[in-house]
Amino acid sequence: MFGKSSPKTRYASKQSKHIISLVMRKELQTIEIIEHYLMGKLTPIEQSDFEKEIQSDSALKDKVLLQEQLIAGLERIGLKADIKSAKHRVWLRKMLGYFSLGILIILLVGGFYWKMNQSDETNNEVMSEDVELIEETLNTEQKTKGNFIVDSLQKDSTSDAEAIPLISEGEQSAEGSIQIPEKQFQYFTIDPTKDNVIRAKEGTLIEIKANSFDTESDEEVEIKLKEYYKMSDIAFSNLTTQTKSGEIIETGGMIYIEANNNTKKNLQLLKGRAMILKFPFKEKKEGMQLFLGKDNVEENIVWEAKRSIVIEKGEDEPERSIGVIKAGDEVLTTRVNNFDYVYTSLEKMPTFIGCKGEEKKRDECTRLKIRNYVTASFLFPEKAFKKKILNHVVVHFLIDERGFVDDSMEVKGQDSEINSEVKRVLNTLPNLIPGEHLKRPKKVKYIMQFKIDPKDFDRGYKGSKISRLNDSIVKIREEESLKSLSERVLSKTIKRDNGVKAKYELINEIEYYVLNTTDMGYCNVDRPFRPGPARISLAMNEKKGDVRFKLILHNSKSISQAQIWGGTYKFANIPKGESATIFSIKIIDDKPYLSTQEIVISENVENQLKYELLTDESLKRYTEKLNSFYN
Amino acid sequence: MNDQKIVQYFKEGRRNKAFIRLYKAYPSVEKVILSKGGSKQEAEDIFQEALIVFYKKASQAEFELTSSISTYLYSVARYLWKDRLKWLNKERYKTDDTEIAVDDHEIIELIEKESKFLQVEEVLNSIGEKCLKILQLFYYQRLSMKAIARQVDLKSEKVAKNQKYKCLERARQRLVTLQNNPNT
Repeated sequence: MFGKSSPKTRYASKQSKHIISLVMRKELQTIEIIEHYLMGKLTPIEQSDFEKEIQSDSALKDKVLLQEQLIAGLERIGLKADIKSAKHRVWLRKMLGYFSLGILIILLVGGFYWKMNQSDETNNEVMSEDVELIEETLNTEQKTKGNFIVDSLQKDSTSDAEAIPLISEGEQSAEGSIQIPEKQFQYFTIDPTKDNVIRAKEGTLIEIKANSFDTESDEEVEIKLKEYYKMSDIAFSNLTTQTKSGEIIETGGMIYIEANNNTKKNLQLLKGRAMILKFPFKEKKEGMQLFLGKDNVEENIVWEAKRSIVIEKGEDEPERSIGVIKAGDEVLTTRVNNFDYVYTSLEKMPTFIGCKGEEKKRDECTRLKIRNYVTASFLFPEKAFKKKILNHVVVHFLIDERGFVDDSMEVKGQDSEINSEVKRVLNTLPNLIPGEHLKRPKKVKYIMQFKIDPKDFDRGYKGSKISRLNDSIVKIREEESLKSLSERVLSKTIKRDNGVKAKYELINEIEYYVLNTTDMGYCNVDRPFRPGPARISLAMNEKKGDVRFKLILHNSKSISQAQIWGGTYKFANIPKGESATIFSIKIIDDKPYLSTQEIVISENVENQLKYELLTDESLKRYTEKLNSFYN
Repeated sequence: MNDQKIVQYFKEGRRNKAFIRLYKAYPSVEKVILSKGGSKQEAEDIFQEALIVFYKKASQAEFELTSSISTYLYSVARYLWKDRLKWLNKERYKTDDTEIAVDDHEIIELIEKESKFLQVEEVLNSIGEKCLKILQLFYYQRLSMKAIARQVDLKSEKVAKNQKYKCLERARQRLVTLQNNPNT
């Protein structure tokens, strides 16, 4: 995720609207990450990674500081408004106290009158009619009058009335309604002149060969991707697993993929340059094939079988199955860029031998041990030592699915000899227990910064000491002394060999449906629903309106949608006797309501849907429910 | 004053309730400021600032109640007043020779930190009401972009997001300009 955060300045020299928008989007991403960081929305691991990035990027650091100040300023303005509002309430209570003593009746009546006026005004503010397009507002700033919280409160303070805050606690809970969640795009920037492997968040691997797109240009291609594996994602995205002719199919995962560059939208793959799609699975289903999504008349996506070779993970190419590509350094860099996007933290981070305890503690311990290891094994290059210059080195490296340091390490520093020494040392790092995400071993990126100062040496240029930068204060019991760690390096080669064996066992846990296609857009790996049960229709007895009915089968990852037949909604072609859930979304007053009903499919199921407002809480509940039928 | 309850309110984000309770500490603060030559308005300003300082302290992850909140507010207010006198009026400052029991390094640090944001506040108050409102709803009230779009009557979440970005950009630029040319 964070790899995207540093905007690529190389775009700036070119002039084009697309380029600007791309830069702006990256800029937006940076701001968003900073925002998450400052508002405490990052996980501890993401946070410490980001802090490291800040330390190595002074422009970023300035941005963070500035934004921090702005947020603090906003907080102060908000707090002042809250305090003022509290003050007025206290004042009113005091007045009410007098009232009970029979004093100041007239004033109070006046006060109430005021208060009523005020609440009317507040309502008006919320529903404000003098809506201006904010585009204009921004240019003619300060002109707009009115509905600002601090302002309305300041107005109050001159009159003796209770201020009514714009958002009271009560309103907030009534306002709990949220919109139907939308699946977010994942973005990957690739160099189209190189081979690329894209690994998406939920595990899809996409291999695109060099020069596959129908573009003359060598400029970077941006891949936009959505993955749909969870039933909740499929259902909320208004997707189904129905073919054009209305038959039900069972999905093993679907994606939407789009490629653009600065000169052309919707790039297509050239004939003979098929990309390879790999959909991970836990439990293999026979007979899977590729279906492509097409818009039908109602603007729903329906699926069409596509002739495609389905390759199951073969013994002959275990390396490829985990997305490792054989290519030169340049390609690896591209790959690293792609991976950056997803992995600077995992559910379970890699573990250094000897590190124990809960996730955070273990992760911190691992980082510390990696540092200590580098410190202990570093041999100061003689020439560099004689220069007597303080060196800063930033290392980006990956710990792969086997727990080894990946070949794609990047070392940035002033001195090339020091850089290669850091590289050498890290390459001898003992095998870690690999990180995991969704129970699968995953590659993860580390960014570490070292300060290497010749002054820190007491014994010539051998046996250096590298002072640590921005290490969180971790108290860990050093179960293995640094010395014994260094000794372990001796057996490194052997360990690597052992590691390769272990690797196979791990890889075998990740299996993919592999298929190739030259079609972009919606791709779905599916098989037809078993032919056994009779297909029937089921009427929902509801007239055409702002409502969507889906039928989700419990024993097969299948979902179909009710269509309008003779003015009411009906499910067609559904298998009798199967247990299923009707899932319905209804829009009332622009607010979505949800409902589910578990049924066994037959012609005479009654519609007993009870709708519930979509809130954060109900969304969570429904999501869990929809996903509970599948592993 | 039920101190634990107030801290609890802050934790739950019910700032209004917390501040209402905290106002019980106001009379004693007012009294001391008035006795030190301040006006009622000044007393209110000082108290407001003290509440902000306390809020910041209470929002710290490692926050623990060590003294009573009213004592804390009182000390902060005393310190703030002394500080203000120092700036405003050296004569009055000199006559105020009462020792303040604020040797709490942390309080001073918090106060100094807050004073740095006055400039930022100024900038934010200049970016336009709608802009300020959008930023506030997002960063302070922590509403979702969807809710914000509704509140400020914008067509969609997307428009609101875009707007938020522009507003933030404007505030940022002004702040940078101001910080680079402090005299203009």
